[in-house]
Amino acid sequence: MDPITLSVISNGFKSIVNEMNLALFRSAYSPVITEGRDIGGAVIDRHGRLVAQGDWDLAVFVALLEFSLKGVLARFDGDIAPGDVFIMNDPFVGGTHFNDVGVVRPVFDGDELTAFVAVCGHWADVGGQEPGSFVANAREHFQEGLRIPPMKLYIAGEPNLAVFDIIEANMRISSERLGDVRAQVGSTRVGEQRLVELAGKYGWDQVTGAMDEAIAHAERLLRSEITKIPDGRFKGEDHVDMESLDRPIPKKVALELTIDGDSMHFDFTGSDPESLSASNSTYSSTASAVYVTVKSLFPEIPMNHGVFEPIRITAPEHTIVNALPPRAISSMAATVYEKVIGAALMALSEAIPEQAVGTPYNLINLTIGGRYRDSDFVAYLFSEGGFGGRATKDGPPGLVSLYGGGAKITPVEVMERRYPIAFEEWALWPDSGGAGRYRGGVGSRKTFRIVDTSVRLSCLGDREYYPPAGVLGGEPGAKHGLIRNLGTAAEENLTLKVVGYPLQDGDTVTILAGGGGGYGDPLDRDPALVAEDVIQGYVTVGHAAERYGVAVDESGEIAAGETERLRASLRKGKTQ
Amino acid sequence: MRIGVDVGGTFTDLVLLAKGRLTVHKVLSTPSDPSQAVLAAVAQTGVPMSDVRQFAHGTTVTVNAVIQRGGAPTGLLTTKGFRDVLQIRRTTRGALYDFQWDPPQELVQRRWRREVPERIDASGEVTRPPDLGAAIAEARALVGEGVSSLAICFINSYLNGENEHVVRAALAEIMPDLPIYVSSDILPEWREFERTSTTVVSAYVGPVLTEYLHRLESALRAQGYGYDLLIMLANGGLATAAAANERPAYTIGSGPAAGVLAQLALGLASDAEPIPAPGSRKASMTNIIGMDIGGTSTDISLVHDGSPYLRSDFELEFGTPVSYPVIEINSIGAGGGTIAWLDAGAMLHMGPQSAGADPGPACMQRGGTEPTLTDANVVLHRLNPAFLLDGAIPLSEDAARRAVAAVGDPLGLDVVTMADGIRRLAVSSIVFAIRQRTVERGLDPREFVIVGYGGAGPLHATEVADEMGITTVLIPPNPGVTSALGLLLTDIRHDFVTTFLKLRAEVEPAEVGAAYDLLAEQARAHLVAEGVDADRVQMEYAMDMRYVGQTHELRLNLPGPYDDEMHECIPRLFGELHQAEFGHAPELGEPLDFVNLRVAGIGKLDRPELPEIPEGGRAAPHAHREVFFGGADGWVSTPIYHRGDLGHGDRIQGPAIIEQLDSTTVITPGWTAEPDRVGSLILRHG
Repeated sequence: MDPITLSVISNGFKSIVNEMNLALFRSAYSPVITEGRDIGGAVIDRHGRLVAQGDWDLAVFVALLEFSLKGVLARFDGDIAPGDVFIMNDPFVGGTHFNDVGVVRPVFDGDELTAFVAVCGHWADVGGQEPGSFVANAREHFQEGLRIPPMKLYIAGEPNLAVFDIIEANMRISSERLGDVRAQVGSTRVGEQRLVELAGKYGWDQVTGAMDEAIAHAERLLRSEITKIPDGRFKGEDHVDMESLDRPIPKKVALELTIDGDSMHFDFTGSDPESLSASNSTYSSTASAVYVTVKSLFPEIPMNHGVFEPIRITAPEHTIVNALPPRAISSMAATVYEKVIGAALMALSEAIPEQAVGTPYNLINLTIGGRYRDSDFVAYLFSEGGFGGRATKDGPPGLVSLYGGGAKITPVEVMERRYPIAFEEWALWPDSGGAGRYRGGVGSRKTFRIVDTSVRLSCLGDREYYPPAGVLGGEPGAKHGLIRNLGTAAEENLTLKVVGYPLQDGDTVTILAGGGGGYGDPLDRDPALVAEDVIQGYVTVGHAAERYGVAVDESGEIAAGETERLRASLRKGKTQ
Repeated sequence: MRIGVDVGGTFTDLVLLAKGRLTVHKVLSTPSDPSQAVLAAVAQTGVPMSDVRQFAHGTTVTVNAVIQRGGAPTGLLTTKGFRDVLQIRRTTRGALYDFQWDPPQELVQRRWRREVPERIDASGEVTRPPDLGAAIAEARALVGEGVSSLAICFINSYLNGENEHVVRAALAEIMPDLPIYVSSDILPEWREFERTSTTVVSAYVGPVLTEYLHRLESALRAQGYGYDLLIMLANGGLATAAAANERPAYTIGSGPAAGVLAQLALGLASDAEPIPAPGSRKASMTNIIGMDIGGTSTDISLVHDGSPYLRSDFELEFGTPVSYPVIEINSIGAGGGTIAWLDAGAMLHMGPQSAGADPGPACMQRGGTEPTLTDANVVLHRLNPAFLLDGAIPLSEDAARRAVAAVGDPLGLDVVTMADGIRRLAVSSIVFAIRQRTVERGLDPREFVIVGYGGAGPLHATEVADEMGITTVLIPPNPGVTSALGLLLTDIRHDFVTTFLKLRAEVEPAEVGAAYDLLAEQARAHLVAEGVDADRVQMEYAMDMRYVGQTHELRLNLPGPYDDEMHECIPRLFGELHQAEFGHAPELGEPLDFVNLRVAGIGKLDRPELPEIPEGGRAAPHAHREVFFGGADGWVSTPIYHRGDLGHGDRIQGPAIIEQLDSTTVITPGWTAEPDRVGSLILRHG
């Protein structure tokens, strides 16, 4: 096809997804969508292959939408008509956790199915045992809310009221959830209109031809990148600290990566059996974590089905990377998902050292609930942390997790005004970045105090025992943590898997979100960079001596002879 | 006599309004000292400065100070425990999936961010007075390390500026020459990161602006100018130099804001009627999509029912917000210098890289070899293939063809097809960007007219309009100096905000009214100090509010001052706004949270009438050239007109090209062009 028209139509696909998302931001109810931008939209071809995402979409969702489409096609192929709209949130078919609800609309040329548009959004609640539907110690997914297998929300343009009624009957503040459904349906209508307009201008043959070509183009780009990687087998592994507080069993994610010519095989055989808590991932989430990692290493390659083609994934059933019903999955994001990324980064670091990065910090989500000024409240607080060191530069500090995508944190001044808490500290955490030739970005440390009331505290988090790993000789970032009354006689380790812990007026809580893993041997780091880190306060004098073998004072003055001596002795210690 | 001077990256534009006539001067900008180009343009007018009653100026010194990191070495004092607010930002990542991404360097490095023990709680009470000894020691240390400007931003100071002011007073006593910017004066609005960033940007650019304005004002005075030097702000108003220095970050983005004002003034002044687009309910000359295509980017703005959209979430660069209410402008990387390139998979892309002014497009032969949109327009003969700016810039068609062929050959496309492809791709990316803006606002673009300006806006306006189903386009009299014109068409304006944070149900109307009165007093005092007569002062009131439980507020413009009647009307007015913005609104009784109160104090200036142009009848092409229009048309022998030969009432049928000093307007087949009363070209289709 004409290469100009191809470029114009390809840009059109991306713009269509952006427009769908903007329409969704405008009209959705869940703040996680409107403010957190926890959404993903896509144009998908008639075979169910992902064609394009937009500028704000979480790659997490976008990869999943293709699995969702497979579910729709498996159930409804041959029974898809103009005006139908599908809904689903089933992680065992293609999804993350029940909160992420996908809406899919088929697009037609007359009677002929030509494409799909889809949009996925994080609903604030989908029912289940706890408000917000995250239940770290759930035994079965039945505790985590409503499971919606692919079904028709609209049948030939008419609402399927039974589905609306079931949603309304099973979720908290259900009027808002119905608002979210309507917003998502409206958003796919925008996508359908724009796609039809595009076809009106260029013809469906050109539009579907451009879909094929966009996919082939991404596949070509990724295969050419993989070809540059030497063939071989590379191992990676990472661990979830424990299933849950009442099941303190660590869980391993094991990976063997095979690079063969222009394709990659991620084989998770050897990973631990599925958890009897919510620390599990389904096949589609595991695949999504692999795609996200590869995408983050090769950011220029457009995200579509072409990226999936050169990647084969093996994840044995009934392991934590491919849990099956009735297992619970709501802790996936904070546990297994991040470990799949960690294992993949470790394996890839051996294969492509120039693109390798230390593992980023792990998502931490805190929920604080109680009564304040005569009404119930639930406050959410996530924590930012550091990303890994890279081949030519340090990792960036204090950012939202990879999974958290475009989320913006709520300011101190808003939190203090709205909830009975007062912050004492919210700052970068010196020495928390993994030491390395290039340091991991430092994490953050927040302390808040409970004011004039009592509350209950729950947390989704990980990496108290298995910190973010360094690569190629780099050291791990700091272990994460959640501590009550730090530095007092009443100090207590609450742990990052705490559920419903009661806190009293005056108690403080400190969240320690670590830094990323380092890149390369810290003893190879330029002492001048270590001195600059000391001046800027990213690294303390003690840490500089201990981890980097650099003798430097507070003012950044380096003692050269002492540094040489320190480094020699540290090197000796390492080789022994 | 009035003069407006707008400084741009390449050119400094001057518009002189004298004896009912507009004249335009364009000189090359002088980035090392922009005032030189300003004075050179003034000299070109030949007008004695003593005859000038108003000199309005749009400057880029502040935005450039940030982009080039050339501001004052700045220190920041924060509340103990909150040293890194500036760096953690809102935790967002600029590229969601890219391990190599880094945020831009903060304007204050970490070592120069120092903590002071002090605290104000969430109700505004001082729970810990500032430790002045610590503050003084930190400030002294900072100055010792080379800091020459200081920002102070404490937690919760939006409720109570006392601790910030106490520290400032203590420091001012011992360091009287150190400029100090405190957040409760700069932007007393909640959300500590945005307030800190705005304050830090102010401290970083403030000394640069002060020095620049002092230099320029002295030079103008020396030439006999006897009035205030007025500076354009990004909120769409003017300020005296003294007021601009107080809140220097307001000058960032002021040039494009002036362009939006000019669009609106031209729309209002036009005697032309837009053609309603098929299927749309209405079109109006005060519903405007502004499309300013320059050398490196296209700036898109929206004016709806005669009002530009304002926003408070402007980011100067990633993670560097300036949270003042400013005219909303969205930039995309599609300009005359934007480069067309092939990726490793042989897919064609445009930008965001640009050849800019240096090395410039290949056709200018100043070292650029990559094909740009301008090169494509030269190959297609839409631009005069021999020269621009009346011969001041010679062009090489051969160089343009060579550059375009370099991307066309690998794709198997001949040079003309390729050039037309570059044009199509650029137009489509502008169309997609405009669509996103209108979808975001829930607007139907067919109810709008496009105003195409900047050097390249008039080249592509009709094609963008065609793609969007828009049938009316306005090209300003001098498209390349639209921002400078806007400087002559606005008022003095100062915005003030206070964060109120009370439920409507729990306040008396008088309490809200009193809070507004305080803001209005502040605004009035500013205007009076600037010499505005009391009878020329107007106040505009707005409130940011939300339904209880919502996370984000929405701004409601109030039709008048806050009184009992307004208090009663608010739920209905806000419900209507919510419905218009989001497509849904709750019941009338839904409780409301009053978040920010806003007052804009406006000092009305005499608006000059835009001069009318002579009646037509003399329009005749001065030449013909072969121009490529693509599609079924291909190469067409096209009449070329001088813009200056056209008068009111003339009608030119496309295809045609209308050339003038600062721009070239392309009338594609099917469109007609008619100058309106004040000389704007009204292009219509159908």
